[in-house]
Amino acid sequence: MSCQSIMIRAPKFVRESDTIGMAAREIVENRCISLPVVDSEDRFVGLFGIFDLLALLVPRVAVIGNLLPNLQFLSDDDDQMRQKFLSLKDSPLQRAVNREAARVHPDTPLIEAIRLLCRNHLVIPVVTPDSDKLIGVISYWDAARHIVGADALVKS
Amino acid sequence: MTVAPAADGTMLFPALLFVVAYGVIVTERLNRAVVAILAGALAVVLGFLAQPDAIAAIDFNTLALLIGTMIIVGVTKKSGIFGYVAIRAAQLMRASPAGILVALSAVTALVSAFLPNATTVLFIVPVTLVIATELSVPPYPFLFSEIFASNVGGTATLIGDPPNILIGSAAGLTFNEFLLALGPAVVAVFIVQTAVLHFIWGRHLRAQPKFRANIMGMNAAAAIADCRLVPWTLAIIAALVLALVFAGPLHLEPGTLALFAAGLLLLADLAPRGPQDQSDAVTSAFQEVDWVTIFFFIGIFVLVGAVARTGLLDYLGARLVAFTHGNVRDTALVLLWAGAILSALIDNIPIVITMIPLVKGIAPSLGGNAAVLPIWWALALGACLGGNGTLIGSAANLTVAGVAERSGVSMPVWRYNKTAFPLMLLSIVLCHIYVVWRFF
Repeated sequence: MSCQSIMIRAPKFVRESDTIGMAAREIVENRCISLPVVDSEDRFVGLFGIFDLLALLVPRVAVIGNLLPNLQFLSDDDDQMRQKFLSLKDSPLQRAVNREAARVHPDTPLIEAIRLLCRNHLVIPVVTPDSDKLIGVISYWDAARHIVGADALVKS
Repeated sequence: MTVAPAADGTMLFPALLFVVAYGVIVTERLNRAVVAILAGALAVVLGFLAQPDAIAAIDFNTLALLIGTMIIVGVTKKSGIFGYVAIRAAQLMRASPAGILVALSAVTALVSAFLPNATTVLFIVPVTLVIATELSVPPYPFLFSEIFASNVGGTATLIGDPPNILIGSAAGLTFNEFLLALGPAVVAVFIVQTAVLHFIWGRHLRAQPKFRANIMGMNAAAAIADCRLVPWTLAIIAALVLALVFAGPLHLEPGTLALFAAGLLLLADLAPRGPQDQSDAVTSAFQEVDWVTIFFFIGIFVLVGAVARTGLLDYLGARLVAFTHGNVRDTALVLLWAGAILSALIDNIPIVITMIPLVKGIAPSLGGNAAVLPIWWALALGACLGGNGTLIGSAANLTVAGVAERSGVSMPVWRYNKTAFPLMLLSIVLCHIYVVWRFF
């Protein structure tokens, strides 16, 4: 069984030239965990998701490794958080893309996609092997539905 | 006066291995611990050093002191005490960026004097980055000044910086002797360096009142993540420092004391936990040990042991004594400057490990162990402060650069070096004056 068999074709995506505000709206309106980001030639460059969006609102050092035990000493209220987002929303998405995101090819075995889903808790982009063009995504709902056979269970 | 040993063919291959290994370390193309382990192992495999001699070349007191203090740091980190101190220091300066630059440097220098500086910066830098973000000021000047402060503060004591740990262990120097001999120089260098950094950056830093209000509104007490651990941490670190002060009468090596203190702090941390939780906590504390540095030390100890066995370092020492005409003052000053420049260019740990047998070798021709004390102090000042000169000069520098990079703050090598190297030279000029004034 390969990734091709369960991937969602023509998925929603954003472009790296879009703004953070545009991507945030897509994420919130569509309740996405993460969205693939492509360049001007539709090549996959990374992911931008709800956790990347929220991480923009706190100092970056607080979300890498285990360097700060907590951020409870900060006095930011929700208004200040909104102000922070407003100051960022017109910035290019380019600077906030997770470029380390894992990707698979259409013929990658499904078990590998499941391993990546378990590790990263994000959607897995499916790209062409030669040019990295985005052709689909695998979400954990699709993987689970396929394996558990939820549709069949519901019908029975 | 001893006769200078002649250089001969038996020195060639160990010396070649030594030069190649140090060359690869400088290029940073391979992890330095891997290079050191391979070079050390090769020295034994090729018969430059017998296995028992290789074991004897490893200074286990130094390793124990480093591992002990690193474990202490690992447990202390969980308490959040240093975050509290850094925030209070910023608030004491009324959130003025220039004041915070000085205050955080002072905190870094003070903590670095009693804990390894590479790990001290791990406490201070994250909070510094949060403070700079809240103030909306560039974090680079703060990070730069904290690197300098950690290396300067670490110079003051036996346990503050790896070169001092090495020198103290090899020469049998005590915590008190380090503090009394180097403390005044460290204070002078810190004051001058802080003034220069204020002139370069501090006086230009401005923050809007609303951003300063963010800092004043911080709840410093909330930075403390584990209230129960704080008194234990402070008490055990204080007890360790006191024990080091009295290490002479106690007839205990600093490494033993540090491991004992680490064990006590682990016990304090584990006391309220269940068996599985204890295992996780101990594993987490041991993960804080910088094993790259530890294995780097082990490999370099063996490699230098092999080179020393050939008589090459005695030969170089004799050449040095001939160059300075057996004058202790001139020898000390040569090692101050050579230690500083080489530490900036390579890394202060291998430089000091190499210099130690060299100084021990020339001691008899310069009047014995007591006569060469100023040389040890000059070497410590040169190696510790020389580490400030470039971004690869000491472990603390690389730690700060690494955290900064991961936090999205660029710290290019050339940008650091062009300010740091002249500032390092200034500190060595001050030390030159101090060494001449104080010891001769």
